[in-house]
Amino acid sequence: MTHTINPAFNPAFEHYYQPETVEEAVSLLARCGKDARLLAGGTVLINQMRSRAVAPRHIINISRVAGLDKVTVTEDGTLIMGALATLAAVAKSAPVRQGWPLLREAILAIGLVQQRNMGTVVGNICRPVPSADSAVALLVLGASVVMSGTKGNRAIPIAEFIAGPRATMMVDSEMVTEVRVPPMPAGAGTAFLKLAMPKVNVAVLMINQKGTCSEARIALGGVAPTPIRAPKAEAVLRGKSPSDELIDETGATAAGETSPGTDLRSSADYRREMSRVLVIRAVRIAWDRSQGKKGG
Amino acid sequence: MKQALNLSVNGQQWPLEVEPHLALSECLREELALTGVRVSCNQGHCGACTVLLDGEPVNACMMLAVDAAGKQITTIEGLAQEGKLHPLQQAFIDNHGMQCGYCTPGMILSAKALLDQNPRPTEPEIREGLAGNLCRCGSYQKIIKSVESAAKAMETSRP
Repeated sequence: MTHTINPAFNPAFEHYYQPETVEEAVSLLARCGKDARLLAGGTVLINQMRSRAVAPRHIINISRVAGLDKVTVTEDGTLIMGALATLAAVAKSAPVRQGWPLLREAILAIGLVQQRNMGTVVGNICRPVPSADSAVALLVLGASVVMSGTKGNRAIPIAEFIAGPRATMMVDSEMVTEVRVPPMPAGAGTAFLKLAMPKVNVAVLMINQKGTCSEARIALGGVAPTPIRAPKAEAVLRGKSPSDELIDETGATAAGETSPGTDLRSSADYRREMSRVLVIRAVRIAWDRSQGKKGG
Repeated sequence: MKQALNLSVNGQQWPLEVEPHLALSECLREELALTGVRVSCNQGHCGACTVLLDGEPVNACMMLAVDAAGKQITTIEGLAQEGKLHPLQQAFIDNHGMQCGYCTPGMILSAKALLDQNPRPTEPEIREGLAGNLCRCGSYQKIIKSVESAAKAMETSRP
Protein backbone atom coordinates (compact mmCIF):
# COMPACT_ATOMS: atom_id res chain seq x y z
CA MET A 1 0.00 0.00 0.00
CA THR A 2 1.38 3.41 -0.88
CA HIS A 3 0.79 6.23 1.48
CA THR A 4 2.10 9.65 2.16
CA ILE A 5 1.93 11.05 5.62
CA ASN A 6 2.09 14.75 6.08
CA PRO A 7 5.01 15.14 8.51
CA ALA A 8 3.03 17.80 10.36
CA PHE A 9 0.57 15.09 11.41
CA ASN A 10 3.17 13.33 13.51
CA PRO A 11 5.28 14.42 16.43
CA ALA A 12 8.98 14.77 15.64
CA PHE A 13 11.88 13.28 17.58
CA GLU A 14 15.01 11.35 16.73
CA HIS A 15 15.43 8.50 19.17
CA TYR A 16 12.83 6.40 20.91
CA TYR A 17 13.51 4.23 23.93
CA GLN A 18 11.28 1.80 25.78
CA PRO A 19 13.07 0.93 29.01
CA GLU A 20 11.71 -1.92 31.11
CA THR A 21 12.99 -0.86 34.52
CA VAL A 22 13.21 2.41 36.45
CA GLU A 23 17.01 2.02 36.60
CA GLU A 24 17.18 1.74 32.82
CA ALA A 25 14.96 4.81 32.39
CA VAL A 26 17.04 6.84 34.83
CA SER A 27 20.33 5.92 33.14
CA LEU A 28 18.83 6.90 29.76
CA LEU A 29 17.75 10.24 31.27
CA ALA A 30 21.24 10.77 32.63
CA ARG A 31 22.79 9.93 29.27
CA CYS A 32 20.44 12.05 27.11
CA GLY A 33 20.33 15.06 29.44
CA LYS A 34 18.24 18.08 28.55
CA ASP A 35 17.38 16.73 25.10
CA ALA A 36 15.26 13.95 26.59
CA ARG A 37 11.65 13.81 27.70
CA LEU A 38 9.76 11.04 29.44
CA LEU A 39 6.54 9.90 27.82
CA ALA A 40 3.70 8.22 29.73
CA GLY A 41 0.06 9.02 28.86
CA GLY A 42 1.10 11.38 26.06
CA THR A 43 -1.85 13.75 26.36
CA VAL A 44 0.43 16.76 26.85
CA LEU A 45 3.74 15.83 25.24
CA ILE A 46 2.39 14.44 21.94
CA ASN A 47 0.52 17.70 21.30
CA GLN A 48 3.52 19.80 22.25
CA MET A 49 5.73 17.83 19.89
CA ARG A 50 3.20 17.92 17.07
CA SER A 51 2.86 21.70 17.33
CA ARG A 52 6.66 21.91 17.64
CA ALA A 53 6.25 23.75 20.95
CA VAL A 54 8.91 21.37 22.22
CA ALA A 55 11.36 19.36 20.14
CA PRO A 56 13.15 16.81 22.31
CA ARG A 57 15.63 14.61 20.45
CA HIS A 58 15.12 11.63 22.75
CA ILE A 59 11.79 10.21 23.86
CA ILE A 60 11.88 7.76 26.72
CA ASN A 61 8.59 5.93 26.92
CA ILE A 62 8.14 4.40 30.36
CA SER A 63 4.96 2.45 29.58
CA ARG A 64 6.82 -0.89 29.60
CA VAL A 65 8.23 -0.40 33.10
CA ALA A 66 6.50 -3.07 35.18
CA GLY A 67 4.61 -2.15 38.34
CA LEU A 68 4.34 1.60 37.72
CA ASP A 69 0.59 1.40 37.04
CA LYS A 70 -0.25 0.44 40.61
CA VAL A 71 -2.91 2.07 42.78
CA THR A 72 -2.47 0.48 46.19
CA VAL A 73 -2.68 1.15 49.90
CA THR A 74 0.18 0.29 52.24
CA GLU A 75 -0.23 -1.29 55.67
CA ASP A 76 -0.12 2.11 57.36
CA GLY A 77 -2.97 3.35 55.12
CA THR A 78 -0.91 5.42 52.66
CA LEU A 79 -2.24 5.58 49.10
CA ILE A 80 0.38 4.88 46.43
CA MET A 81 -0.20 5.90 42.83
CA GLY A 82 2.46 4.75 40.36
CA ALA A 83 3.73 6.93 37.54
CA LEU A 84 1.65 5.02 34.98
CA ALA A 85 -1.62 4.99 36.95
CA THR A 86 -4.09 6.70 34.65
CA LEU A 87 -6.48 9.35 35.89
CA ALA A 88 -9.40 7.01 35.13
CA ALA A 89 -7.80 4.07 36.95
CA VAL A 90 -7.18 6.17 40.06
CA ALA A 91 -10.68 7.66 40.06
CA LYS A 92 -12.26 4.22 39.61
CA SER A 93 -10.12 2.40 42.16
CA ALA A 94 -11.86 1.13 45.29
CA PRO A 95 -9.35 2.65 47.76
CA VAL A 96 -9.69 6.13 46.26
CA ARG A 97 -13.49 5.89 46.12
CA GLN A 98 -13.59 4.91 49.78
CA GLY A 99 -10.68 6.73 51.32
CA TRP A 100 -9.88 9.85 49.28
CA PRO A 101 -13.11 11.23 47.75
CA LEU A 102 -11.41 14.60 47.27
CA LEU A 103 -8.86 13.10 44.92
CA ARG A 104 -11.61 11.43 42.91
CA GLU A 105 -13.55 14.70 42.62
CA ALA A 106 -10.46 16.57 41.43
CA ILE A 107 -9.45 13.90 38.93
CA LEU A 108 -12.92 13.70 37.40
CA ALA A 109 -12.60 17.44 36.71
CA ILE A 110 -9.57 16.82 34.47
CA GLY A 111 -10.12 16.55 30.74
CA LEU A 112 -12.77 14.23 29.32
CA VAL A 113 -13.24 10.47 29.08
CA GLN A 114 -10.45 9.77 26.58
CA GLN A 115 -7.89 12.05 28.25
CA ARG A 116 -8.56 10.43 31.63
CA ASN A 117 -8.07 6.98 30.10
CA MET A 118 -4.67 8.03 28.77
CA GLY A 119 -3.29 10.74 31.07
CA THR A 120 -1.70 9.97 34.43
CA VAL A 121 -1.85 11.64 37.83
CA VAL A 122 1.94 11.89 37.83
CA GLY A 123 1.86 13.54 34.39
CA ASN A 124 -0.63 16.08 35.70
CA ILE A 125 1.84 17.21 38.39
CA CYS A 126 5.06 16.84 36.38
CA ARG A 127 4.06 19.67 34.04
CA PRO A 128 1.98 21.51 36.61
CA VAL A 129 -0.15 24.19 35.01
CA PRO A 130 -1.24 26.90 37.47
CA SER A 131 -4.67 25.25 37.70
CA ALA A 132 -3.58 21.57 37.78
CA ASP A 133 -6.63 19.92 39.37
CA SER A 134 -4.88 16.97 40.96
CA ALA A 135 -2.11 19.21 42.37
CA VAL A 136 -4.67 21.37 44.18
CA ALA A 137 -6.19 18.28 45.83
CA LEU A 138 -2.79 16.73 46.60
CA LEU A 139 -1.69 19.98 48.31
CA VAL A 140 -4.42 19.77 50.96
CA LEU A 141 -4.02 15.99 51.28
CA GLY A 142 -0.34 16.44 52.19
CA ALA A 143 0.94 14.21 49.37
CA SER A 144 4.59 13.53 48.69
CA VAL A 145 6.29 12.79 45.39
CA VAL A 146 8.82 9.96 45.16
CA MET A 147 11.60 10.30 42.59
CA SER A 148 14.36 8.04 41.35
CA GLY A 149 17.62 9.40 40.05
CA THR A 150 21.22 8.45 39.50
CA LYS A 151 21.89 9.32 43.15
CA GLY A 152 19.04 7.20 44.51
CA ASN A 153 15.49 7.88 45.62
CA ARG A 154 13.97 10.80 47.47
CA ALA A 155 10.50 11.85 48.58
CA ILE A 156 9.53 15.53 48.50
CA PRO A 157 6.29 17.20 49.68
CA ILE A 158 4.13 18.21 46.70
CA ALA A 159 4.33 21.89 47.73
CA GLU A 160 8.11 21.85 47.29
CA PHE A 161 7.99 19.60 44.24
CA ILE A 162 6.11 22.19 42.18
CA ALA A 163 8.70 24.90 41.59
CA GLY A 164 6.94 27.17 39.11
CA PRO A 165 4.51 27.26 36.21
CA ARG A 166 4.98 23.93 34.36
CA ALA A 167 8.19 23.39 36.34
CA THR A 168 9.31 21.08 39.13
CA MET A 169 12.41 20.88 41.28
CA MET A 170 13.47 17.59 39.66
CA VAL A 171 16.90 17.43 38.08
CA ASP A 172 17.22 16.21 34.48
CA SER A 173 18.21 12.68 35.41
CA GLU A 174 15.31 12.13 37.80
CA MET A 175 11.89 10.63 37.21
CA VAL A 176 8.82 10.43 39.43
CA THR A 177 7.99 6.84 40.29
CA GLU A 178 5.01 7.38 42.54
CA VAL A 179 2.88 9.79 44.55
CA ARG A 180 2.02 8.99 48.16
CA VAL A 181 -1.02 10.30 49.97
CA PRO A 182 -1.33 9.87 53.74
CA PRO A 183 -4.61 8.48 55.11
CA MET A 184 -7.45 10.95 55.53
CA PRO A 185 -7.49 12.20 59.13
CA ALA A 186 -10.42 11.12 61.32
CA GLY A 187 -13.29 13.62 61.28
CA ALA A 188 -12.18 15.17 58.00
CA GLY A 189 -14.53 16.59 55.39
CA THR A 190 -13.31 17.65 51.96
CA ALA A 191 -14.56 19.45 48.86
CA PHE A 192 -13.25 20.30 45.40
CA LEU A 193 -14.82 22.96 43.20
CA LYS A 194 -13.78 24.21 39.80
CA LEU A 195 -14.78 27.01 37.51
CA ALA A 196 -14.10 25.90 33.95
CA MET A 197 -13.60 29.28 32.26
CA PRO A 198 -11.44 30.93 33.38
CA LYS A 199 -9.94 27.98 35.22
CA VAL A 200 -10.07 28.55 38.96
CA ASN A 201 -10.16 25.61 41.35
CA VAL A 202 -10.30 25.12 45.09
CA ALA A 203 -9.71 22.16 47.39
CA VAL A 204 -10.61 22.24 51.09
CA LEU A 205 -9.98 19.80 53.91
CA MET A 206 -11.41 20.50 57.39
CA ILE A 207 -11.20 18.35 60.51
CA ASN A 208 -14.23 18.50 62.75
CA GLN A 209 -13.53 17.94 66.43
CA LYS A 210 -16.84 18.12 68.30
CA GLY A 211 -18.06 21.07 66.27
CA THR A 212 -14.73 22.91 66.21
CA CYS A 213 -12.59 23.10 63.11
CA SER A 214 -9.32 21.79 64.55
CA GLU A 215 -7.54 21.83 61.18
CA ALA A 216 -8.26 23.61 57.90
CA ARG A 217 -6.36 23.30 54.66
CA ILE A 218 -7.25 25.36 51.60
CA ALA A 219 -5.54 25.19 48.21
CA LEU A 220 -6.27 27.26 45.11
CA GLY A 221 -5.34 26.88 41.46
CA GLY A 222 -5.43 29.25 38.50
CA VAL A 223 -4.93 32.35 40.66
CA ALA A 224 -1.12 32.35 41.06
CA PRO A 225 1.84 31.11 38.99
CA THR A 226 1.43 27.69 40.65
CA PRO A 227 -1.27 26.03 42.74
CA ILE A 228 -1.00 27.55 46.24
CA ARG A 229 -2.07 27.01 49.83
CA ALA A 230 -3.89 29.87 51.57
CA PRO A 231 -2.39 29.79 55.10
CA LYS A 232 -3.99 33.03 56.31
CA ALA A 233 -7.44 31.84 55.30
CA GLU A 234 -6.77 28.48 56.97
CA ALA A 235 -5.84 30.33 60.19
CA VAL A 236 -9.20 32.14 60.14
CA LEU A 237 -11.00 28.80 60.50
CA ARG A 238 -8.60 26.91 62.74
CA GLY A 239 -9.84 26.38 66.28
CA LYS A 240 -13.22 27.98 65.58
CA SER A 241 -16.72 26.83 64.91
CA PRO A 242 -17.33 27.96 61.33
CA SER A 243 -20.22 30.47 61.33
CA ASP A 244 -21.49 32.09 58.13
CA GLU A 245 -19.54 35.27 59.01
CA LEU A 246 -16.34 33.30 59.63
CA ILE A 247 -16.71 31.43 56.33
CA ASP A 248 -17.23 34.74 54.48
CA GLU A 249 -14.09 36.09 56.15
CA THR A 250 -12.21 32.93 55.11
CA GLY A 251 -13.19 33.48 51.47
CA ALA A 252 -12.12 37.13 51.53
CA THR A 253 -8.83 36.27 53.23
CA ALA A 254 -8.09 33.51 50.69
CA ALA A 255 -8.82 35.89 47.79
CA GLY A 256 -6.31 38.30 49.32
CA GLU A 257 -3.65 35.59 49.18
CA THR A 258 -3.98 35.11 45.42
CA SER A 259 -1.97 36.86 42.71
CA PRO A 260 -3.90 36.17 39.51
CA GLY A 261 -3.02 37.54 36.11
CA THR A 262 -5.10 39.12 33.38
CA ASP A 263 -5.30 37.50 29.96
CA LEU A 264 -7.78 37.17 27.12
CA ARG A 265 -9.91 34.74 29.13
CA SER A 266 -10.47 36.90 32.18
CA SER A 267 -9.33 39.81 34.29
CA ALA A 268 -7.30 39.31 37.45
CA ASP A 269 -10.14 40.88 39.46
CA TYR A 270 -12.66 38.35 38.18
CA ARG A 271 -10.35 35.43 38.97
CA ARG A 272 -9.77 36.79 42.48
CA GLU A 273 -13.51 37.25 43.05
CA MET A 274 -14.19 33.70 41.82
CA SER A 275 -11.58 32.34 44.20
CA ARG A 276 -13.42 34.08 47.07
CA VAL A 277 -16.77 32.62 46.01
CA LEU A 278 -15.40 29.11 45.44
CA VAL A 279 -13.60 29.05 48.81
CA ILE A 280 -16.80 30.04 50.62
CA ARG A 281 -18.79 27.34 48.83
CA ALA A 282 -16.13 24.66 49.23
CA VAL A 283 -15.68 25.37 52.96
CA ARG A 284 -19.43 25.02 53.49
CA ILE A 285 -19.51 21.70 51.64
CA ALA A 286 -16.39 20.36 53.40
CA TRP A 287 -17.77 21.31 56.81
CA ASP A 288 -21.16 19.72 56.05
CA ARG A 289 -19.40 16.55 54.94
CA SER A 290 -17.28 16.50 58.10
CA GLN A 291 -20.58 16.32 59.98
CA GLY A 292 -21.72 13.42 57.84
CA LYS A 293 -24.05 15.56 55.72
CA LYS A 294 -23.88 14.86 52.05
CA GLY A 295 -23.71 18.46 50.81
CA GLY A 296 -22.41 19.38 47.41
CA MET B 1 14.48 3.97 12.12
CA LYS B 2 11.49 1.72 11.61
CA GLN B 3 10.66 -0.82 14.22
CA ALA B 4 8.64 -4.00 14.17
CA LEU B 5 5.18 -3.74 15.62
CA ASN B 6 2.45 -6.30 16.06
CA LEU B 7 -0.92 -4.62 16.21
CA SER B 8 -4.06 -6.43 17.25
CA VAL B 9 -6.96 -4.67 15.55
CA ASN B 10 -10.54 -5.91 15.53
CA GLY B 11 -9.37 -9.37 16.55
CA GLN B 12 -6.79 -9.65 13.78
CA GLN B 13 -2.98 -9.53 14.10
CA TRP B 14 -1.04 -7.12 11.87
CA PRO B 15 2.73 -7.41 11.70
CA LEU B 16 3.98 -3.95 10.73
CA GLU B 17 7.17 -1.94 10.40
CA VAL B 18 6.63 1.65 11.49
CA GLU B 19 8.53 4.76 12.48
CA PRO B 20 8.22 5.32 16.26
CA HIS B 21 6.76 8.79 15.76
CA LEU B 22 3.81 7.49 13.71
CA ALA B 23 0.57 8.33 15.49
CA LEU B 24 -1.81 5.43 16.05
CA SER B 25 -4.51 7.32 14.11
CA GLU B 26 -2.23 7.65 11.06
CA CYS B 27 -1.11 4.04 11.37
CA LEU B 28 -4.68 2.72 11.39
CA ARG B 29 -5.75 4.94 8.50
CA GLU B 30 -2.71 4.79 6.25
CA GLU B 31 -1.20 1.38 6.97
CA LEU B 32 -4.38 -0.62 7.59
CA ALA B 33 -6.85 1.51 5.59
CA LEU B 34 -9.19 1.72 8.58
CA THR B 35 -10.53 5.13 7.60
CA GLY B 36 -13.38 4.88 10.09
CA VAL B 37 -10.77 6.36 12.41
CA ARG B 38 -11.42 10.02 11.69
CA VAL B 39 -8.83 12.69 12.23
CA SER B 40 -10.31 16.10 12.84
CA CYS B 41 -8.53 18.32 15.37
CA ASN B 42 -5.44 16.09 15.69
CA GLN B 43 -4.99 17.57 19.18
CA GLY B 44 -6.94 15.20 21.40
CA HIS B 45 -9.90 17.53 21.82
CA CYS B 46 -12.63 16.37 19.44
CA GLY B 47 -12.77 12.59 19.88
CA ALA B 48 -13.29 11.86 16.16
CA CYS B 49 -10.28 9.50 16.22
CA THR B 50 -11.59 7.55 19.23
CA VAL B 51 -10.71 3.86 19.24
CA LEU B 52 -11.12 1.33 22.05
CA LEU B 53 -7.89 0.20 23.65
CA ASP B 54 -8.61 -2.90 25.74
CA GLY B 55 -12.22 -1.69 25.80
CA GLU B 56 -11.52 1.88 26.94
CA PRO B 57 -11.94 4.88 24.64
CA VAL B 58 -8.73 6.76 23.81
CA ASN B 59 -7.79 9.39 21.25
CA ALA B 60 -5.71 7.59 18.62
CA CYS B 61 -4.16 10.90 17.51
CA MET B 62 -2.54 11.32 20.94
CA MET B 63 -0.91 7.96 20.97
CA LEU B 64 2.09 6.56 19.14
CA ALA B 65 1.34 3.38 17.22
CA VAL B 66 4.27 1.56 18.84
CA ASP B 67 2.68 2.13 22.26
CA ALA B 68 -0.41 0.18 21.24
CA ALA B 69 1.60 -3.06 21.03
CA GLY B 70 0.05 -5.79 23.11
CA LYS B 71 -3.32 -4.01 23.38
CA GLN B 72 -6.60 -5.01 21.79
CA ILE B 73 -7.69 -2.20 19.48
CA THR B 74 -11.28 -1.89 18.32
CA THR B 75 -12.27 0.49 15.53
CA ILE B 76 -15.72 1.08 14.08
CA GLU B 77 -14.89 -1.47 11.38
CA GLY B 78 -14.77 -4.17 14.07
CA LEU B 79 -18.29 -3.69 15.43
CA ALA B 80 -20.47 -5.42 12.86
CA GLN B 81 -20.37 -9.20 13.22
CA GLU B 82 -21.00 -11.51 10.28
CA GLY B 83 -22.57 -8.74 8.25
CA LYS B 84 -24.93 -7.77 11.05
CA LEU B 85 -24.62 -4.25 12.44
CA HIS B 86 -23.97 -3.73 16.13
CA PRO B 87 -27.17 -2.57 17.93
CA LEU B 88 -25.54 0.86 18.41
CA GLN B 89 -24.91 1.21 14.69
CA GLN B 90 -28.49 0.17 13.94
CA ALA B 91 -29.83 2.60 16.57
CA PHE B 92 -27.83 5.51 15.11
CA ILE B 93 -29.37 4.74 11.70
CA ASP B 94 -32.90 4.26 13.05
CA ASN B 95 -32.79 7.44 15.14
CA HIS B 96 -30.76 9.44 12.66
CA GLY B 97 -28.08 10.08 15.28
CA MET B 98 -25.95 12.15 12.92
CA GLN B 99 -25.93 14.81 10.27
CA CYS B 100 -22.63 14.73 8.40
CA GLY B 101 -21.51 11.54 10.14
CA TYR B 102 -17.90 12.54 10.69
CA CYS B 103 -18.04 12.18 14.49
CA THR B 104 -20.20 9.04 14.33
CA PRO B 105 -17.50 6.31 14.54
CA GLY B 106 -16.00 7.93 17.63
CA MET B 107 -19.43 8.54 19.15
CA ILE B 108 -20.45 4.91 18.67
CA LEU B 109 -17.19 3.58 20.12
CA SER B 110 -17.45 5.81 23.21
CA ALA B 111 -21.08 4.73 23.54
CA LYS B 112 -20.05 1.07 23.26
CA ALA B 113 -17.51 1.46 26.08
CA LEU B 114 -20.18 3.17 28.16
CA LEU B 115 -22.83 0.47 27.58
CA ASP B 116 -20.31 -2.34 28.16
CA GLN B 117 -19.63 -0.92 31.62
CA ASN B 118 -23.08 0.49 32.35
CA PRO B 119 -25.80 -1.25 30.31
CA ARG B 120 -28.57 1.02 31.59
CA PRO B 121 -27.15 4.53 31.74
CA THR B 122 -29.23 7.57 32.70
CA GLU B 123 -29.29 10.50 30.32
CA PRO B 124 -26.69 12.45 32.37
CA GLU B 125 -24.48 9.35 32.35
CA ILE B 126 -24.74 9.16 28.56
CA ARG B 127 -23.82 12.84 28.31
CA GLU B 128 -20.84 12.26 30.62
CA GLY B 129 -19.77 9.12 28.72
CA LEU B 130 -19.84 10.99 25.40
CA ALA B 131 -18.32 14.21 26.77
CA GLY B 132 -15.05 13.56 24.94
CA ASN B 133 -16.73 13.41 21.52
CA LEU B 134 -17.74 16.62 19.77
CA CYS B 135 -20.42 16.79 17.09
CA ARG B 136 -19.87 19.87 14.97
CA CYS B 137 -23.39 19.53 13.49
CA GLY B 138 -24.89 19.65 16.96
CA SER B 139 -26.87 16.41 16.65
CA TYR B 140 -26.49 15.68 20.34
CA GLN B 141 -30.19 15.17 21.09
CA LYS B 142 -30.54 12.45 18.48
CA ILE B 143 -27.20 10.92 19.42
CA ILE B 144 -28.37 10.56 23.01
CA LYS B 145 -31.69 9.16 21.79
CA SER B 146 -29.76 6.64 19.67
CA VAL B 147 -27.73 5.46 22.65
CA GLU B 148 -30.86 5.15 24.81
CA SER B 149 -32.55 3.16 22.09
CA ALA B 150 -29.51 0.89 21.63
CA ALA B 151 -29.38 0.25 25.38
CA LYS B 152 -33.02 -0.88 25.29
CA ALA B 153 -32.44 -3.06 22.22
CA MET B 154 -29.38 -4.69 23.78
CA GLU B 155 -31.28 -5.34 27.01
CA THR B 156 -34.17 -7.12 25.30
CA SER B 157 -31.81 -9.17 23.13
CA ARG B 158 -29.78 -10.30 26.13
CA PRO B 159 -30.47 -13.93 27.08
